[in-house]
Amino acid sequence: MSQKSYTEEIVERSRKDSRLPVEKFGQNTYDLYCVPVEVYNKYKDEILRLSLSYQEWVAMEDDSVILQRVNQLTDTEIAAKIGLDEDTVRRIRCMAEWDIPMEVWRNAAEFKLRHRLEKPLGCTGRDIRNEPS
Amino acid sequence: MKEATERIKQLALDKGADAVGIASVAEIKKLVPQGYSPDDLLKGAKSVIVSGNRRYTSGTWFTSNIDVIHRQRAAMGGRDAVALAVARFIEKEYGYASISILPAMFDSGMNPVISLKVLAEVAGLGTRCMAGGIILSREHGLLGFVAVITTMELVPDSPLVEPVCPHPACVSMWERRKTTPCMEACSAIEGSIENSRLKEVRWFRQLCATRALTTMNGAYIRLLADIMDDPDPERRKYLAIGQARRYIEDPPGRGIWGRCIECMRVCPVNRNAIKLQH
Repeated sequence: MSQKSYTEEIVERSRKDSRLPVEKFGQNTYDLYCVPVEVYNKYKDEILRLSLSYQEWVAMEDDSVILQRVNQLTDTEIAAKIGLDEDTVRRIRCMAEWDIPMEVWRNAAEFKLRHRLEKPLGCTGRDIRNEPS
Repeated sequence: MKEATERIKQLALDKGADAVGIASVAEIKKLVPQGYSPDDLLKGAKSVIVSGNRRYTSGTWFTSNIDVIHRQRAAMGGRDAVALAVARFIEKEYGYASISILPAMFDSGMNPVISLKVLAEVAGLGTRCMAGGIILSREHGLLGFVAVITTMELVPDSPLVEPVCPHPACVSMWERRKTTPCMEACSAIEGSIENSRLKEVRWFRQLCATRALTTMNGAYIRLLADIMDDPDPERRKYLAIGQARRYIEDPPGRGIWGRCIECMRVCPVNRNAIKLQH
């Protein structure tokens, strides 16, 4: 019978199948998925601006109905542009996409409720002003 | 090839699609970055069948209850069934490999594996509009798209010749006030119009995202970070069970994206399309 625990055996087998280099094994959970906080803070806004988080199109010169994308770079393209590796860019982007202050989420709900009250397409007798948004 | 193309389109319509078009993979490749083409998902892909379903009934657009509106999106499962039916039909009838592509198929984070907007645009189902680059249909207004990527060669449709956006009313508004109804409604939308055509379109997706994803599970995960950050156990408790918990209080529609349609509610193209249904 093996001296390894069942969990140790699972870990070992998962490492073998992952094909990752040895230095990637045994990392703490933060390092598995995240970049150092200072790296994140340094690059997150630039990456958001270059990625699909901010989208910009311009009219093509031939007057085609299809607009030409300006930024909207892939992680590979962003990595090449700012001098980071692709995996680091992806980790930063995936965190930054959700790293919007909670106030903006509250404001979103208020925006929808107020806009709907101001610009109703249909009218009912029900008072919805105090209903949740 | 023409007969097969027509059969496949008819099947999509019979299964409930409101609009269907075919996009050539060769044309799509001209518009998408490396790694995001149909043949990056299916080697040898030649065609993409794109179908669109109206997201809501006309009555839904007229109600003011936000919960009711966004739970209507749960009924859009029928749209996904169209893609699966088309993919299976092609494989069974013609023997070509096919993949159904549904919304919210993510590559990583919020990046899609492929842009359904580009597919729909190349298939001639609509054109990009000022409101966040949504593909707007003149006949149907806002559509929800699905697609089928296949190795089968089909007769492709072409992108529309005339843009759907801007509507003449929006051109007139732009000339007078340098804004449009969608821009006025939502600060995530910016752009400009020149010679009655869109000149620039800008979209702050992460602002739109908080509106489109309110009460979705991801929103609560964002809240969770702030809950854990509070050093006071009482305050943590109230953050978790107070009104902020509404971010997880939508079990029937937990995974539904697209929980804000304010730009489309004021869009003249979309409003005309809603009227057409009466």
